Amino acid sequence: MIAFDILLGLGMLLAAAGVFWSADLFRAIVMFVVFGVLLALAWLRLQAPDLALAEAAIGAGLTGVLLLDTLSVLRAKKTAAGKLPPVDQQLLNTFTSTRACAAQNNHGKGHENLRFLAVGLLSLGILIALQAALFMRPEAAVNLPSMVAEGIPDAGIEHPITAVLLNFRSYDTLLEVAVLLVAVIIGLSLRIPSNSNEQQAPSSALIGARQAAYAGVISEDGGNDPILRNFTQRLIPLVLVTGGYILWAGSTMPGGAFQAGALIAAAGVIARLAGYNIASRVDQLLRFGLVLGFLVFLTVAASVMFGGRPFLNYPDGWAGSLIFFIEAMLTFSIGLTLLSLFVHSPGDGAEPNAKSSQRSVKSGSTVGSDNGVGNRPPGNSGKAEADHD
Amino acid sequence: MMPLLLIIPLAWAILCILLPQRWLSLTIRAGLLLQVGAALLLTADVYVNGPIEYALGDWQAPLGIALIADGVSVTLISLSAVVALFVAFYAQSYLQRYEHEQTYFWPLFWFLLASLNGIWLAGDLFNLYVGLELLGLAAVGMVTLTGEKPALHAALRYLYAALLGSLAYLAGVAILYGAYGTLAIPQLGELLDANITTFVAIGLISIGLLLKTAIFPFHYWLPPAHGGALAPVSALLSALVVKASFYILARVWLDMASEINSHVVLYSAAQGLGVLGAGAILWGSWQAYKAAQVKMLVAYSTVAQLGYLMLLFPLAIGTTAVAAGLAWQGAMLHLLAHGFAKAAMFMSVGTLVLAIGHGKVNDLAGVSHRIPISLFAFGLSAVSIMGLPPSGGFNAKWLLLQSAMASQQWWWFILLVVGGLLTAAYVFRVFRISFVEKATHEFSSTSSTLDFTALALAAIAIAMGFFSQWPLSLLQSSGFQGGGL
Repeated sequence: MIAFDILLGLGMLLAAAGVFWSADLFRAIVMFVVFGVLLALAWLRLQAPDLALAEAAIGAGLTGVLLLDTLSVLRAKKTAAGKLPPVDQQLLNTFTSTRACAAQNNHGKGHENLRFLAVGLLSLGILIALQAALFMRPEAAVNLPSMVAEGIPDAGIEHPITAVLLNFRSYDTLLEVAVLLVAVIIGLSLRIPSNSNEQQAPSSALIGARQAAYAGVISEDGGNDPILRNFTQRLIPLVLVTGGYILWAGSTMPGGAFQAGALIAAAGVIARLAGYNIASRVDQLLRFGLVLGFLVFLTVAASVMFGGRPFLNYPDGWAGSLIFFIEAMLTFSIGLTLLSLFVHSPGDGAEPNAKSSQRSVKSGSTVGSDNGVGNRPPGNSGKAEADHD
Repeated sequence: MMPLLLIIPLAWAILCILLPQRWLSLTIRAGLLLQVGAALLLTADVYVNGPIEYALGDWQAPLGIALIADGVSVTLISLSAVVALFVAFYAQSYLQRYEHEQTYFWPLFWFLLASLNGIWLAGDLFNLYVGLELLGLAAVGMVTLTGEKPALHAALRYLYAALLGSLAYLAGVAILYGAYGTLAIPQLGELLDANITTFVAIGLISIGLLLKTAIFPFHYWLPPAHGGALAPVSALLSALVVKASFYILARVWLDMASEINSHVVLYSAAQGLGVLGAGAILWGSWQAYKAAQVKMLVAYSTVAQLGYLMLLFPLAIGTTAVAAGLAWQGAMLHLLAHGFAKAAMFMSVGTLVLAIGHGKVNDLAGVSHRIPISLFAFGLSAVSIMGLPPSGGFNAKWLLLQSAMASQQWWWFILLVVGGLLTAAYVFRVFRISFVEKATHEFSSTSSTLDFTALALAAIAIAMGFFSQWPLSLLQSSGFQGGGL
């Protein structure tokens, strides 16, 4: 097994080097996904199957897809760059081909080497410090794993990781779900509202170019390919069932809401790439779905306080079923969240430039009018102001 | 009472996502009042009964997570509740011309408040990491709100700095967990030993937190992010968000590591932190003096003012109990006064920018005639930031000066005096121009809510000059001052 571990370690180093030294961003992303898969294997070798599952599903899988999606947007922008102002083109160039830019700057070469040296020395220093800290560490005085084992009978769940995540340290998980929610809120805030009918010329050109780029990067014209369609139709139920199983398994063995949610999202991503338009355009419904898991978690956690119990406690005998209920809702919301990050990524539908130019025009006209606040549309937003004054 | 401070903002975050626009205004105000009420009740409770510990889910630390409310945490909870209250009223008026932004501002606002309360109350190192993640992401999201290119650029830099800081912090926490087997801060405080593993861990944690607090030379991300965001966002970021990571840093050094922090390695590192603070004060003030945009001036002023907080470490570590106590009081008072004053400053400047349409310092001429109240709010907050009497800022700097004398570290004394002069230089640059009579610009009128919310916060910063003993006695009741719990 030692030989395998050494190979695994070397493979990870090579993959990491590949990420940094690939001249082409597409290749760098592929290397990143390879690195994620190898890292999942490493977690498996370190006997942390929960981490391995999470790393494979989220670290390698979904992050890879998101990166590819970003790349396709950037390439599409580059194709449509003729219609963009020169500043944007410059920005695009720096994003899509950093290496090419660095190569153009010949006089910056010495500077580059110096920086490389500094970063290398810094990394070496951190490596030595970390090694020293790990090898000379004292014997731990507190043994948390044994305390977890003792607490398991009262936790209402057999698998220690799930017990830690949803009972002993459920507060951390509650806040982590909030982090996911914040991420998707930011994602939604950066997209163009889908009902905006003022599609500007450059942005529609961008969409076309982006779809073309998609065809090149991810799928071979998915919408019309019968093989892909058939394959997707058979694959998606399989993925969904696996997701359900992993959620169910979470109470007794490695698995749980995050991994299951990632699988659900993966099913959605596959469907999307194959040309199915499953994205819910009903904004209110989408919001409710995204919030559902967090809402249920918070409600359960807070409502026990009416019975005089502390926040985040579970009533005796109910822990197991409540945890499963919370996890099921979380799985749905996490799946939807990860899928939304993919589907509603900024630049989907239109790109931010058009938005910002629209905005600046709007704010300009606002300032120009002599009554600064008078220029907003009448109705609901005006009421608060009236209350205030 | 303690969990309410988490439940209220989290529940209101959900409400602000789900409820239709027309119900939001009233809902938000109700939430703000509840939030302030809960904060005041908890403060009174701690003042009367002393520090309180709360075991979440009824699992005792270290297996579970404990919330700890002592004098320091309730002071900060009150600070964030009051600042959030006025910023929210300001934002309700300010954001009316930003229809798209305000849909997303409010959920982020409540999540930001929840994470702040979570950080002030946290008694667990890993939980602090989760809190920092939530705080950082919500803050980055607020910077991106306008969707304009410079804002996105600044937000991305902010995100990278925040992530790198989190990573370093997490690595340090993981090492401590490996070495001592626990994440509970009070328990770690008893167990920590002066060895290389502890030093590396505290080093990583400190670097991560310095990056997040934007202490010179890690300040590069702050001015574009704070200077480029919408005015209420800048106020929240400068007044509260950067203080959270400083608070954790102070906890780690003066609370958790109090037994070992006079060890020569940590003692010299504390002097090093003071040097970084000196760099922040000098560089930040100089950049503020040179800034062409008034919001950038205020943002660089934050960089400089954060430097004063760093003086806590050399003044409190390895010195006498008297000097350490004074340093601790001075630093906390500075944190409070700067929180109120900087929020007021960003809000009043936001109103000025709104009125003249852009933010060039040199175009502020005539402001004193047209928007006198906001300029007055700016002036009051500037008094506190310069450290002129009577103000919270003056009392804070006075305590720090006394601490420098008590510990006979005259170099920090000189720095404090020079820093005050530099601050006056960049603040008077704004005044000199704004008091020119002849307006070079057209002014659009602004809502009076914008004026008076800023004025209220500035008045609090000044009033702290008279009522400093309240927060100070609260701080003392926790017994946590330099020497440890």
